[in-house]
Amino acid sequence: MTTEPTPSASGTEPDTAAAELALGVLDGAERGAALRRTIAEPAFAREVEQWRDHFARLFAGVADVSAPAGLFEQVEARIDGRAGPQRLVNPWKPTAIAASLAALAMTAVALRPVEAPPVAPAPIVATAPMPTTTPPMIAAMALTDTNASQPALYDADAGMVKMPGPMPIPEGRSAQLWVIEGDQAPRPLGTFRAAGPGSYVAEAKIGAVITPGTKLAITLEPLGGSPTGKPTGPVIASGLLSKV
Amino acid sequence: MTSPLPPQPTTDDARARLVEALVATGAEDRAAFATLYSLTSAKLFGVCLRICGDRGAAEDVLSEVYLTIWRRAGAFEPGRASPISWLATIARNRAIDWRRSAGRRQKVTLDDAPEVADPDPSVEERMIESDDTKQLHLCLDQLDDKQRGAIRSAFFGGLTYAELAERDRVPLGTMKSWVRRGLQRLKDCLSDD
Repeated sequence: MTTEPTPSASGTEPDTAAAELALGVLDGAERGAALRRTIAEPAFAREVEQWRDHFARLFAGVADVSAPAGLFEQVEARIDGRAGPQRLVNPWKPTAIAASLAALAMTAVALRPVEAPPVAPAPIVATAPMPTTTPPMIAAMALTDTNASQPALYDADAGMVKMPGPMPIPEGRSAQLWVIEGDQAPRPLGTFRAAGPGSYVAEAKIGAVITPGTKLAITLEPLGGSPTGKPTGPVIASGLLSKV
Repeated sequence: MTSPLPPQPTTDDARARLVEALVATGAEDRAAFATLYSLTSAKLFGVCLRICGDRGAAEDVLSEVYLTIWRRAGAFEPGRASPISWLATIARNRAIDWRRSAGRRQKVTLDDAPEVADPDPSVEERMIESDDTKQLHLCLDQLDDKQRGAIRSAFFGGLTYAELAERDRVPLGTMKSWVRRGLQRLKDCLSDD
């Protein structure tokens, strides 16, 4: 485990920031500083993960309680987009990270080139060899610093990957996208730029034919992307592409 | 990135079934999702109830939890995390989110001591615990009551340092020192194997 001093602890205290972050006791600037360390220090990120695992063992002491009848059917109805009689008696609000993949698929339209509005698809002429649009693909990107994941959407026609959720990009760095096919070396794609509040896009000329198991990864690189064509910074998210 | 954590034992049949159901759920297999629900809903409802302290809220949260599991199952890495820890962590985070948004309106939940100070597991429960879980409890047992209490409250109540200090009516710096010393002892004890 790392022994580097934490900026939040006084000089005489050992570094317990990884445990504190996993436990959830930090807030404000201290939490921000610890989150930044998960990006800057891979050893710290691993330590946070180990602590999460340690603390998760406390769940073994929680008594089982039968879930109410009908709850699974309610979940299924929501998956299928049937709203159902959802009782929101509490100030519960799904977070942006939980944005549904179905909803995301609909935002695919936002990625299409302006000259090809999806509401009016060009009629396919009988002699046309191929349809003019390729269905978008999705990857559940696992974020390295939390156990959360957020979807990335790949639009082959636009040659873009969109991440609708927040990304922890430190000042003065770029988040670069990579594609990894099979056991080949990562191929560099574009760097992400903001495309609206909390939403990012990167150029991704991967083509329409994606082999199963093709992986997307995002690393932190110097501004403008890796100077060497190989990843030089920590991986902040990765996931496998699959059809919507 | 790949983690250097050692692979976890997979001899347990129940665990293997759970991993199988979770991985298939990640491939959008609805039957597997139903199996996953039947294997885990009692545990996860227990976690939600434990943290929310209110049955109606726990039911709403549980529904959100399974929706989240359905969407995120594809990101589960079998070799890396214990499936039940992964699932229970989603339930915990969701329940704490609810508790925080509810707690801002009614401060009362912070003083609701019975919710956060639950008894240690019974002897019977400990007998069926895994070695890892036993070790964690043995190490927690070595801490002061105050340290152990604060760590458990933080875990199950989602309380921050500021909230723990307010609840126990001690200065923030004192609470931080207690918990940090406790975590350091826990770290030494857990790496002592």
